[in-house]
Amino acid sequence: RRVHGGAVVGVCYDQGVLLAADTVGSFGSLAKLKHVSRVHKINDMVAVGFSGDLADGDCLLNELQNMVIDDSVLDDGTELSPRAVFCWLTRVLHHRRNKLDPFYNQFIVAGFDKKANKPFMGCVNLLGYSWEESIIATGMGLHFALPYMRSQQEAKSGVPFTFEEAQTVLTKSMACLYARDCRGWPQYQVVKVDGAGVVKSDVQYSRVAFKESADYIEGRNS
Amino acid sequence: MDVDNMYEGFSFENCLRNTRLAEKGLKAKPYNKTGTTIVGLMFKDGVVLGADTRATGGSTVLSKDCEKLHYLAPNMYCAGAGTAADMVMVGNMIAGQLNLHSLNTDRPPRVVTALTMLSHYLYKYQGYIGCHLIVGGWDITGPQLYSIDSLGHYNDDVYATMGSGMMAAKTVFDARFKLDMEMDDAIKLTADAVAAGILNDMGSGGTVNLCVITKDKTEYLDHYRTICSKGPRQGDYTVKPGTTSLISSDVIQVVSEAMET
Repeated sequence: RRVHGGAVVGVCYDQGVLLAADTVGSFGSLAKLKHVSRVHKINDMVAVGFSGDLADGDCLLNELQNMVIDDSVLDDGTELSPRAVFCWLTRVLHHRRNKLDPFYNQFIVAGFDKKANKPFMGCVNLLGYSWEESIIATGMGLHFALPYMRSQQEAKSGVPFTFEEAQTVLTKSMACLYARDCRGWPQYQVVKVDGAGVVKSDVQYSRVAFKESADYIEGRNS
Repeated sequence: MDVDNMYEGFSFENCLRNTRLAEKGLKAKPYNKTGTTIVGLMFKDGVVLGADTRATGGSTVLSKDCEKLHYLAPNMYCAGAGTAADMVMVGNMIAGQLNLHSLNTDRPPRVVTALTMLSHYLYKYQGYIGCHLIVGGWDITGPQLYSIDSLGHYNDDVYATMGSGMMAAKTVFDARFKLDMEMDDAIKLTADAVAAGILNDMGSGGTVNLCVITKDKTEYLDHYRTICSKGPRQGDYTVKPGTTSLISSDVIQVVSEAMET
């Protein structure tokens, strides 16, 4: 058993991207670490979130942060773009998969592409397979968050979410993950990436209400 | 089969033989399963049950339009996931028993009666009858909704989802369910939940079938919503006679000697 993190959920909206992950580090079914940060700002254009093995994720995150430091040391005005980070992660993860020694993670790269002036979001998994999408979820989020987010997206018929809609979708997805995933946790962090930069929120809390239906349940086996 | 020593439940005599055959390489036939999305929702005036229409055997779709909402009584339906044959036979059996019970007691049947019968029957077979059910109806005590798994455990709730698409449907319910919804909202939400299962789960597909049960009537909404349609044929691909021109023909008599046995 190794310490691992749960789902990461990402939603693109018209002006940017929102990325959320809960703050628990699970050790099997023990909630070992309660304040783990799994979504991180990389630079003013990019944020990453990862699920899976925390040690492997932190290792790659460390590498990324070192690359950002190298950039600032060079001080030539260029920064790592979201696609650059995405490509780098894909290649590293695929390379390690080829050596049969994978980094056991799913990464979501969220960024604002300043050249195209559009939000960008991509996912890479431990096999080195990568894809770009406007709604992404990893881990248990695949079963719980993704169907709901897809149904909300389809209801918009091709129009991107607004910031408020994206927030609602994200909040409800995290609440559902806390309610239905045994390894879920009510506290989570959100990172917002848009043209203005990357902002990481304080820890937010999922509110889940089951009490209201209690009156209807008459006590047969519940 | 030793008729004198018959006991209740399944006989497992052939299990050892089957394991030895499997080791020798005999592959069991894939049985017709309903990897499924079934949902049930309680609203202000009654219950809505919903199901998809795909039946799978292994990873093949065996039926694109199978019925998963089984009639139990005029005021009661059950949605079933699991082994298709088990679902149909158990549904028929319980419907018959409910009818007899109703005639005996001279009252319309109650949902808890069906629930108890199903629960006892499934527990007796210790999960080997692969039925995962959502039983819903309206009886004298009001709208009722229960989910039962193949081991006989049942649960009472205001909304329920079962089958391989249960997680996808559950999220839609968790996000949008409200107590005491109106019928139109309830129908739409149920259809959306089944649609989420159909679109996000490989074991579910086809169309959405719904059944709305209220105090006054039970309405079976067959093919309520089609999620994806194949689309019309783009062209005519039949080959017209005379496409291949005949250059010459030759008839050769083949003489075969019959073998003497």
